[in-house]
Amino acid sequence: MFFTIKRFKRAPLPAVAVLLFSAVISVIICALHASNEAEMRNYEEVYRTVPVEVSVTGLTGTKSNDLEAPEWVLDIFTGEKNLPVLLDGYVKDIQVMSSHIAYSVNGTDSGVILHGITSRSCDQLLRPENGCDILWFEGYDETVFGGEEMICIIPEGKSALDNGNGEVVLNFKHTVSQTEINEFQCTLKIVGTYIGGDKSSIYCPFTVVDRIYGALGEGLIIDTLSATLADNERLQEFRNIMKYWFLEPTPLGQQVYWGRMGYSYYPYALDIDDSILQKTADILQNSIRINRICTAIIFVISAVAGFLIGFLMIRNRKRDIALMRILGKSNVAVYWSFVLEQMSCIILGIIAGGAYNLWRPINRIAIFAMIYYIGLSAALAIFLRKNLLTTIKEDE
Amino acid sequence: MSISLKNVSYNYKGKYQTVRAVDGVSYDFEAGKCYAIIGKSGSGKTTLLSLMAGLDLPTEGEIIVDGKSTKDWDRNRMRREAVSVIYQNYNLFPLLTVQENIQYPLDLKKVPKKEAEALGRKVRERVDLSENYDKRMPAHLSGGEQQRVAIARTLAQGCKIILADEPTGNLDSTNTRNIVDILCTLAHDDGCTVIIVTHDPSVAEQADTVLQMKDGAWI
Repeated sequence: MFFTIKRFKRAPLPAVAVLLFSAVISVIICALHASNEAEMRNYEEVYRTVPVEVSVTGLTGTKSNDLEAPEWVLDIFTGEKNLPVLLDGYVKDIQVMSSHIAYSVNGTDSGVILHGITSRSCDQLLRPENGCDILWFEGYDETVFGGEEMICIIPEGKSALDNGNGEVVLNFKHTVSQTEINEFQCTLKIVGTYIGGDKSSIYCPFTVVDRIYGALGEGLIIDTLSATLADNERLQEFRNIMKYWFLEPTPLGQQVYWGRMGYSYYPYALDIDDSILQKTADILQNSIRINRICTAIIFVISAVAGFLIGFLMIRNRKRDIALMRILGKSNVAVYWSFVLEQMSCIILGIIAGGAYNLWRPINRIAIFAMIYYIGLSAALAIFLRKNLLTTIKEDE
Repeated sequence: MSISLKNVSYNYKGKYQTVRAVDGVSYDFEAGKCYAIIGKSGSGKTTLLSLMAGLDLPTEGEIIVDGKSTKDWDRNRMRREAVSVIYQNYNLFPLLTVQENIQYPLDLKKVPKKEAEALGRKVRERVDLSENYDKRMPAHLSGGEQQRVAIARTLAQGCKIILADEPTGNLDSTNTRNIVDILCTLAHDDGCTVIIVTHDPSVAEQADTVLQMKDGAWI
C-alpha cells in the first residue's frame, strides 16, 4: 500500500484519469436516475390528472345529445338505486341534461323547451367554442346549474319570456290517460341571458327539471350523460364493469352479445375517451424506456472501459508485475494490490460524482463499480496466468 | 545453501513447434563458490537460470534447492527467501527511489519499517553507494549504479543463492570488474552460491568454476 501511494504521488495522471472517468460515469448515472424518477413522477401525475371522459352514446358512438335514456341509466352512474352493478365508485363530475317542453309560458302557448343541466358543457349549443356567451346578472355565475335554486337563463332579446318581475312562469302537462292529465307550474327567476345557441330554449339547474318530471308523474328522460373517471389507474377495471350495462361503440352499431341478457337491441353504448391519456402515457413511457436503455449502455460502457483501462494499464506495467512476482510476491497479492489501487480511484471518483445526487441511486453506482471490477479482474487474470519465464523472455 | 540439477530438461512450447531449450543437465553447485555459465545466444543459459530461480518447473528432471525440489517449494516463498535473481536490465521499479527499491523485498517479508531502513542503509553501503543516492530515482543513475542498487536489493532479500543473468552486459570494463568483485565477495565472504550467466570471458575468468553450454547441455 505504501508503494501504491508513492506511485500515485509520482505518476498521478493514470490515477486521475480513472478517477475522472468514474466521476463522469457516476454523474451520468445519477442524472439518468434523477431524470427517470422525474419522468416516473410525471407519469403518475399524468395518470392522476389527465381527465378520461366517459359518455353515454348510441351504438355507433355518434349519437350523444338526444339519447332519450330512462332514469335508471343515470342511476347506474349515481348509484341511487339498488342495481346489481354500479359505476358510481368509478366516476365523478357527472354531467347530465334533461329537457321538457313547456305547455305554456306566462300563460300563453310557447313551444319553449326547458333544459335542466348540471353544467354549461352539457349542451353543445351553450359552449363558448360554439359561439355562445352568457351575460350573468350580478351575484350569479355558472355554478348555479349545479345547485337546486329555481333560476334560469333565457335567450337575449326574448323579453316576452319575462313576466315583468324578472321571472318566467312555466306550465307543464302530462297526459296519463284520456281522462287524467297531470299539470305542474313553476316560476323560475331569470339570472342571465345568453347570446347564440337555440333561441327557443331556457336553461335551468338539472334538479329543477328532475322535480318537474317527478311532479308530473313521468319517468325522467335523459338527453345527455357523461362523467369523468375518478381514478385512471382503475381504467381497465372500469371497462370490465361497464360491460354489464353498456356496449362498446362500434362503427356499424351492430348488435353485440351483451351481458347476461344475450343478444340485445338495447340502444346505448359507453364511449371512453382515453386518447389524451394514452398519447401522453405513450410519450412518457418512451422517454422512460430510452432512459433505461441509456443506463444499460452506460453499464456496458463501464464494463468495456473497466476491461480496457485495466488491460492497457496492466500491459503498460507488465514489467512491474513480472518483477513483483520475481521478488516473491504471490499472484493473489499482486492481484489485490492492483485492484486496491484501481478501485480506490474508482471509489474516490464515485464519491465525487455520486455526491451530485446525494447517493440516491446507490444500487446503480454499486453495479457500475462491480462491473468495472469484473472487467479489471478479467484483465488481471490474463496477465497473472501468463508463464513468468515466457514473460521474462518476451521482455528481453 | 546449495543447488543441484538432476537431469534437468525444459521444452518451450511455441505456436508452431516445441523447442528443447535445456537438455538433460545435471550439476551440484556448492555454497561459497562463484560459478560462471558461458555459451552462445540460444544455448539455454538464461532458461536454465530461470528454472533455478523457480520461474517455471523443468519438463523433466528436478532442481534441488536447499535439499528440497522446486516442485515442492512454494515458489513465491522460494524467491523471497532462498533464491534471488539479478538481470542485465537491472529490473528496478522506475517510480520508486533507490531506498524504496532496496527495501521492497523487506516490505514483502513484512519487516518493520525502522528495521528495514537500517538494513537498507547497511546493504547500500556494502555496494558502495552513499546516502545521497537514497532519494534518487533509477532513471537518474548510471548503468553501474543501477546494477549496484539491484545487488543491494538482492542483499536485502537475504537469499543465499544469487543468480545473475548477464549482470554486466550493459556496463563498461571498470563497472564490470566492480560488479563481479562484489558478487564474488558475496560467495567467498558470505557463503552464498553465486551463478553468473555471461558472454564476457573477463567475467568468467573471475569465477571459481566455469561451465559451458551448447544446445541446452554442458560441453
